[in-house]
Amino acid sequence: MAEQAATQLATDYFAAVDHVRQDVKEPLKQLMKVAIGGQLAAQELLTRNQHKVGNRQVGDTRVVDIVIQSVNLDNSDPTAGRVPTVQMDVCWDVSDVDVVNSQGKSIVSPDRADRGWTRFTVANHRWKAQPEDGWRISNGQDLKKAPCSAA
Amino acid sequence: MFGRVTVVVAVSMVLTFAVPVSTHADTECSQTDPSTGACLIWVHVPGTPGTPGEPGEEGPEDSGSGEPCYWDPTKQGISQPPAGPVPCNAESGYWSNTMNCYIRLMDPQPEAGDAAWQGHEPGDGSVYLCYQPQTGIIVPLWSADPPDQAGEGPTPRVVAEQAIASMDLKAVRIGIAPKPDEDSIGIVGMPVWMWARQPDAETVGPATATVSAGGITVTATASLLKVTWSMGDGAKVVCTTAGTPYKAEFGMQSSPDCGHTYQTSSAGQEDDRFTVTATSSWVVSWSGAGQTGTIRLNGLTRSAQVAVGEAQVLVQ
Repeated sequence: MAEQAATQLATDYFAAVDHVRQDVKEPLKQLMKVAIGGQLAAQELLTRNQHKVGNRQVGDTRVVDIVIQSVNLDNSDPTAGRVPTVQMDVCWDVSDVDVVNSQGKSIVSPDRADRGWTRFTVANHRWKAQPEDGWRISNGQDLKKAPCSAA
Repeated sequence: MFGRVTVVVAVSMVLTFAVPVSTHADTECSQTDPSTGACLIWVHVPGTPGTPGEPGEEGPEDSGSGEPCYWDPTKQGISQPPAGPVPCNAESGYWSNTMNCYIRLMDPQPEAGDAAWQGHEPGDGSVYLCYQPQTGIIVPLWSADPPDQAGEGPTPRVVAEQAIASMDLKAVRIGIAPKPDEDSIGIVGMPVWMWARQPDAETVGPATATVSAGGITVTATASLLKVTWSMGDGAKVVCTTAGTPYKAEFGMQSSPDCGHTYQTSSAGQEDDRFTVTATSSWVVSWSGAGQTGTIRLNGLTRSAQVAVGEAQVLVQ
């Protein structure tokens, strides 16, 4: 169940991020449905700053592959952070994504990778009340491994 | 700000998303934002400039309002944006001078084993979000106790006053001719010399002291602006120097920089002497917390009694 929830969350996460990046009017609070803690704070700040300078995303991020690495359902002390977690590697593809400024000019660095892996920590701080939909991405780290192959 | 191996969540505000505003050689990107290519999460390694708890260098001068909360870029080895006051409270939390960022408790706390715990077990201290709007960086950091809240600490001016107190400034030791002793008497119409005897940093400056309190380090330098001499006959003489000590070889010359001539004798005054009071006025310039200011100190006084008589009386 946790694996399924985490897998779905990966897709939902990128969709939500795309959504708020594509339209400045979209409320950032919808990110709270997919992210938490430092990951949420970072996404809110980056998106808010993008909006502030008039940048806008065009196109959608595609999730190519998801590999569950570990599942830990220890919920012994939620207030102290002992909550269920899932670690998963997500291969994403942004070859259809551009970021443009207010003049419509792309500001994406030519060095940007169109495809890559990120290892996300997915946590459920509301395991007792929301064992299925309480999962949020709380952290992430680039993985230095070859990009996944085209799906 | 960043002391240990710390997961750093950063937001680049540069348009090209090339590098964040604050970059050190020992900063590595941990998580890339796929769509922009900007770094979303950074990792700092030990030994970067501005380690928490270490005092930062003095920042450049500012208008000097004495605000208790300030941004000091030198703590991170950068120069921009320039140092200066910041609001003590913001949506991102309260400002910490020590951490150089806005602090708020991460809610909920990270999961056990998360790098933000920096090896500590959940329940041992807490993880806070340290947000630096000047650079767009937000850092999860572990701390046993809540980081200092600048607004609750002393203002730079208060710290400057502590520095002044440590200088132990005193009024000048009165040097005057005629001497203020039983056997000396001046003569009406003859020049009187006044000066600061045994001048030193405590009495004529300049005196410098540096004090740290509440995450603020202030350096204050006190300089003697003037000494106002109340001569006891109603005259006030303002000297902007420490004066020139009188020597016998000067004879009847007037003091080149700090003197007076009595027109009446001190007969009838208390103990038949004029009470001469020297009041020092100091100017203390302080700098710290990205601000500067000036504190004026008056009221340090010292007195002496001198006798002045009519020359014809003495002849008789």
